[in-house]
Amino acid sequence: MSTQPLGQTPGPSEKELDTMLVKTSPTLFDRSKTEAAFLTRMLEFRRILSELPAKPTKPCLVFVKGDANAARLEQRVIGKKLTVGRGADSDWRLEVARQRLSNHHFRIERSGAEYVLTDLDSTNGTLLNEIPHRIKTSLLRAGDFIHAGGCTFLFIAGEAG
Amino acid sequence: MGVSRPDDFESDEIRTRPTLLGKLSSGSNQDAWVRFYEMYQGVILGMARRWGLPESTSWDVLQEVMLAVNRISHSFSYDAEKRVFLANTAHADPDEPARRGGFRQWLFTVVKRAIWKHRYGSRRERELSFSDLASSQDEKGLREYYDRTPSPDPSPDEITEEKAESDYRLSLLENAIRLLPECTKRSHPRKTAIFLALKQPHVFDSIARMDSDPLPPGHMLEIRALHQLKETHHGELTKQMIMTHYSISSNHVDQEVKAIKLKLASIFADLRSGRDPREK
Repeated sequence: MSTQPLGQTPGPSEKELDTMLVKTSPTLFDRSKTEAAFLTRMLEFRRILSELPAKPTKPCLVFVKGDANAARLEQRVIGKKLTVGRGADSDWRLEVARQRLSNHHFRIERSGAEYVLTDLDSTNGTLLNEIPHRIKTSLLRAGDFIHAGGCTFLFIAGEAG
Repeated sequence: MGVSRPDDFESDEIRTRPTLLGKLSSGSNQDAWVRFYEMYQGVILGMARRWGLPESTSWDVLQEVMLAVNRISHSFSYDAEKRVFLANTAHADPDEPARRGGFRQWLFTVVKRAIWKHRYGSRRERELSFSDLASSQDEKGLREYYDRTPSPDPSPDEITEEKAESDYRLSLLENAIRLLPECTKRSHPRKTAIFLALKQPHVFDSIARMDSDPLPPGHMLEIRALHQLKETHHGELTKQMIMTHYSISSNHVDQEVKAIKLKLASIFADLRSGRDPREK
């Protein structure tokens, strides 16, 4: 078996190619649906960042869409914690069509260097990114989209990322 | 255990395709961003998976890397003399001393760091299920759950150069296989099907069992026909059966397989050099 590059440099030799071929994952084609959703989210994230009037320097939540009394791209700095809901005592109080948002719907709280999203036993649940089921609590990563009460929010970790 | 140094990671001279990065650095060209994603997402996911990260965490690594690319995409410069793009790493990592190097070198340093961070912090599950919270119903309990797990150490010094290079090459090959249909001509569905059936039977079986069609219709038609042949022979598919099915000689089958191998090597080389293999 030849150890010379098969075709152009820096391609593998036939021997190396054969060695690697037995190690490939059987599911290497099995990601297309997730990929499409992920790519869409990343593109949306890029688009929103480019539309923001000023790049956020602190971790914040951005209102992306929904039938609510918030302007698109309205932001709230999270600080130690941020609760979102219809209730008057929520940190970010939103009126949403058909009251799909609970009085206390979800909370984002700082835990060390991380931010934790918690659903506050809301009636209609909180969804994160492409995860198909309601979440109870999850660590947040920059670029995560939160779906709650017919509204979509974007988590930005600060320094425009 | 050797210490991995980003500067040594790629011994050969590798340059990312200038025009692609040029478009990316404009920050507004969606097509360039998508192309970039398509070229590297499989490689990044493959490396993360090979380092033992669960599927969901591998996607977190990819998200982190793509966002890092986004953050520095405005800070590329082009060294005309060396024909190489440079990335200012200080934009990406405030703890890293300001250093200018090849973009792809920076990219794979970021990938390795992200993998290491998630691997080291693997006890720190991203999402907690309701059962996980059974003993942490109150806020204090929940906070304690997160606080008792250590913060991840970003130092990837357990990732050896040899292992990283090996994982990287295998991930490049997997991506090359996935890109095959987009890089081959009309006459290649049969070649691809024969190659997968004989040289990648585990991948071939997996594709044939999928509900969706991960390859173009022409490729799927050939794969399903061969797989049906395999099923009627109790899971066995030999070269002789393929020769009979297509009425071709043994030499012809070998040539078909060799043609795909050559194509894979070419796509591999393109990906390794930062060229888009589909632009030919």
